[in-house]
Amino acid sequence: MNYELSNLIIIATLLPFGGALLNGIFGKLISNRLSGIIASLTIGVSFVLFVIFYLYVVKNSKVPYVIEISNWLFLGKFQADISLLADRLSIIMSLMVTGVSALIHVYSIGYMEKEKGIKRYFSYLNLFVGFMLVLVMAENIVLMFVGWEGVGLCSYLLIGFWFSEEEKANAARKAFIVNRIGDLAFILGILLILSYFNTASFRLINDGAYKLPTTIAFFITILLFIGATGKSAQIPLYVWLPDAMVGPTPVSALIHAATMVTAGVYMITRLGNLFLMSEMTLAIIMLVGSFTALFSATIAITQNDIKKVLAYSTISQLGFMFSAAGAYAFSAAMFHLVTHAFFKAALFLLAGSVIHALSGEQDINRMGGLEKYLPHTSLMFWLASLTIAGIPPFSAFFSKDEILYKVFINENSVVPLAPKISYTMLIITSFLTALYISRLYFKVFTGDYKGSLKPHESPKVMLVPIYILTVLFAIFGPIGMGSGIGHILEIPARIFGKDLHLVNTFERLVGPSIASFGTISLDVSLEIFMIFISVIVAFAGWLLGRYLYCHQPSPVVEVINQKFYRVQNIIYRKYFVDEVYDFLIVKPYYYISRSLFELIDRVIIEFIIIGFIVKVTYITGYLLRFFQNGYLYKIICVGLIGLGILVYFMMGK
Amino acid sequence: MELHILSYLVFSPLLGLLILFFIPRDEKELIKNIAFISSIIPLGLSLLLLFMFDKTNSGFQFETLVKWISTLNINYHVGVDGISLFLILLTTLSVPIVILSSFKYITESEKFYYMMVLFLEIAMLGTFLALDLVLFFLFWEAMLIPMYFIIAIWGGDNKRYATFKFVIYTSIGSVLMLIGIFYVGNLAGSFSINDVYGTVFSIKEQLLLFGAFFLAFAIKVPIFPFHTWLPDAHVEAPTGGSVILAAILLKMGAYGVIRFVIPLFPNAVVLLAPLIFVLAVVGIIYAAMASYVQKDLKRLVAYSSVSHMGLIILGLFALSSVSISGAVYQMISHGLSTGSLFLIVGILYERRHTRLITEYGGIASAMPMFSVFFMIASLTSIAVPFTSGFVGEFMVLFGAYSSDFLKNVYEYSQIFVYVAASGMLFGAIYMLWAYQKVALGPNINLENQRLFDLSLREFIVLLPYSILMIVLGIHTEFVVSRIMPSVDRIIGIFYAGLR
Repeated sequence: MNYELSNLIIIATLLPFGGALLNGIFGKLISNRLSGIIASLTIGVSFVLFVIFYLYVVKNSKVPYVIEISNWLFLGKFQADISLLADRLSIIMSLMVTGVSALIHVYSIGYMEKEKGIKRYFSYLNLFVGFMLVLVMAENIVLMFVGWEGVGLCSYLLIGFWFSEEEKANAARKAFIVNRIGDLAFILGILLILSYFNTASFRLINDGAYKLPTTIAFFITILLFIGATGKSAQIPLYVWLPDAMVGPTPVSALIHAATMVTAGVYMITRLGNLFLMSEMTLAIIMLVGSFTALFSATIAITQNDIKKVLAYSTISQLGFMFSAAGAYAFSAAMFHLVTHAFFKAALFLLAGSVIHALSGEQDINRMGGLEKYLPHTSLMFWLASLTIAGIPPFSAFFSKDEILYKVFINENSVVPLAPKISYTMLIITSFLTALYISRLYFKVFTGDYKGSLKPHESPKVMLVPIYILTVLFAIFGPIGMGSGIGHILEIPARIFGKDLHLVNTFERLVGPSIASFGTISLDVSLEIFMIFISVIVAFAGWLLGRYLYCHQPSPVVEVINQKFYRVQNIIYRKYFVDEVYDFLIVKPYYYISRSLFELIDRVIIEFIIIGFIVKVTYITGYLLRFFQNGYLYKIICVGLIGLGILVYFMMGK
Repeated sequence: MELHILSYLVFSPLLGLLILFFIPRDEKELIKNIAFISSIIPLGLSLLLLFMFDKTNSGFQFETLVKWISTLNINYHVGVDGISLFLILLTTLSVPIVILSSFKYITESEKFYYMMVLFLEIAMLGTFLALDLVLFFLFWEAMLIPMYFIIAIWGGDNKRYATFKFVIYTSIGSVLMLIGIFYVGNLAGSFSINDVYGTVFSIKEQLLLFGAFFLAFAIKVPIFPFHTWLPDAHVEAPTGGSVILAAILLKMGAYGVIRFVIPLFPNAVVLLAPLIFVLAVVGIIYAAMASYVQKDLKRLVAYSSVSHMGLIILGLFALSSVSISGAVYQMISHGLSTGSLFLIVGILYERRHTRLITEYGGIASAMPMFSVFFMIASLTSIAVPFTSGFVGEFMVLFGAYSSDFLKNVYEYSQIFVYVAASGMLFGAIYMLWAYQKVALGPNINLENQRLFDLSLREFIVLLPYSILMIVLGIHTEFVVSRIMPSVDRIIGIFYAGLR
């Protein structure tokens, strides 16, 4: 590869850091608008550079490129350097990250217009993209950890952007600490990897993974997976994500929906060969993923805060990706990651548009009938809702079906039942997904408007980015078309005597950079059958939501509310998980710390040990003082005793 | 031609000390300026030293040996290697910062204060550079005098108690070390480190000498459970005293371990390593928990020091090239971050005359620039990547985890590393809690609303540490490539002496 093109990647990765510095240091000198434009431009240019690199290099080559920037950590027999790995996986991910980021940056110019500290905001946002690119492009696992913690830090800074409110500062800290629990596991996993492989490089780790004993592979991968549950908000470490919604909405769209939270899935895909070494871990990933999907989808149905619904939806969708990863369908996981980035970013930005229109209102019970006031927002929200519900021909239909199918046909020799259990949970989740999103859509946009302020449609600077995302999530699907759908589409083509050769372009694209586990025989008829099931489920969920919530909540809702009040309340209160954690971990930690400190420092060391030494010294001194009070006879007496002792010892010798 | 740069360096603060001596005590501004300017000279000399330092040479460089008490074979012998080099730089950088930070804090007997700081600098530099055991001990003890005065004169309300405790603790360790030094010198026939390194001690001797040396160092570090003097000393000391204490004095103990304990008593090290691991790991976790429940911000930072020093001790006794180099790196990083944090507490104290965390809240809106520095120091303290804290901590953890010595000698030693790594989590808990309670949230207190942001002087005081924390987090080669050869040499001596 020629020199200039590798420079492109370095520039593209470092540009966001430059933007962050520019806004951070010289922010005072420029206007708010200019600050936003600079921030958006840096990301935009970075995106264009990745596109150029993709078109000229990656598209035509299956070989990964390693681009060295600088040496960094010296770890004895090997080094962990600041180097980038440009292969199809990382470049596609970077394209998604910079593309979506650029749109959200532009959107932010409108959304954050009236906020104080907008330069700080753009500085953090740029910094985030920089660290995200480090995470994605990292050539070795230690550098990935830099990006991993770096995005967590930016997430902390941005959740707490309005830091003068205690609640937001608390949410920010909670996000950081919960992530740190995951990071701790991650770093232990890294220590294990480094000491077993004697390298930090992803390629060498993946190449040497087959030599690893199963037990070690299990420990390594489970630690990495715990790390992933922190960053990607899976059970048991998901609790920070709903709270993180107190941050600015574009931040929720970018960090807590499209990019950062998918880092766990990306990391597992990156280390695919390693994860393939432990079927136990894969089963755990699959089950945790699908259970998280189901669990959070139930919560999403009951929430009334528009952003909370989307937050639980994100957790649920991430669960889909993990289930796919657990079924070593890494391509399917990555494809859903990309489509999800488009439609979930769009949903969050649309929610932001609604919140913006209502001057900060987030309770869906005080919305309703907004389609009259916000025609653009409403239309796009409708499309995005259909997409996430899995209704064809939008992208999530393709990506979700691919996951469901791959999970269903997966075989796990350690936990044979896992794929089927997982599939069952996922199909129920599909239904619930369609239900909660149609509930959200119909409650917000149909019926009567219940607020008092007159809503206003958002400015173009906010709408255009969403339009672009809408186009993307609407038409992106066929790129990752599974063979079943391809087969269905072949039928009409055959009638006209044409052969379409529909293939999964996405899988072909990323295929060379990710792990695969031999070839799985595809049963096309089974796949077609399953597509029907999931389409029926999606429509059923959507129509049920429409029946219950379109225009007026149906009387059935009232009945359900009354009959199942207790169950509903438990779900609404998120199964009391936060309270349980608080009771079992947070409070005890403080009280244990407090009592340990009092006991060890105050009582044992200071009072007993030091006190004892002081007493002994004092008493000795007191006794000795008896001989030193200036009376001649006592001094002579002591002298004689001393002489006696001396003589005794000398005689003894 | 013989270069006496090290001797010039050690005694260069004398120049300022002498000038100050002849200046009337009422010329306050002049005193401050002279103190500051004269503290730049050692900094310049040490930068020159860095420039001239030969990184391919793992042994001592710029050695100077002058006969002193020839009957006992005690010499004036100084020299520098990769390990002491950066501790020297940390010292010469910290002293001007400390002097500049004291301009407003110290309002009485300024003359004496700055003389004491310069005196302290001589003692600190001497301790790091001395290659003769007796000389080392003299400098080591000399540090106590100015530190005593700094806390006792300019300290807080409870200063008598704190100084008393500080002096007693340190002296107990020193007395034992002195006995150890005489024993070692007697056996080796010389007090010079080059002669001492080759001396062979029996196991029994090693264990006793280890105890004598290590106790002194353990108190200074401080290692759990010898740490209780530290929070008191920190809380009562003036800002400048705290910064020197945290940034440099605590490193003396760890430095002593690398320089003397590990190469001299290898068998004792092997035998006692598990005990020390336990103390180090307990210290990491316990001190982090203790930090979390402190009400006084300065005390919180003091306990965090104990926690971090635990990790450094773990790195040293893991005896791999990476872990010891990481520990030295972490010593520098900890100096920068904790030094910064004490400066930050001092800046708050100068404005509000309280260190109680509950008195603050939301000051980021009143003091945005201050909060950025606070954030950088906090992040380094909790080892966020691309800060120097991460580099040191990661090297220690990985070095300890993959240490051949540990694996061969103690099968389950890696468990210590697992536990130690959790300090990363516990650190984040108390540090972010403290940051939030001080800087974030609503700014309700009227007095906090009236706070003004950093002055130019305070900005200059905080800037060097902060820049270094980030630069050393990204560019590590410069430092590591100079530390590692000397560390390898020490490890070589350790293995050569092992029986």
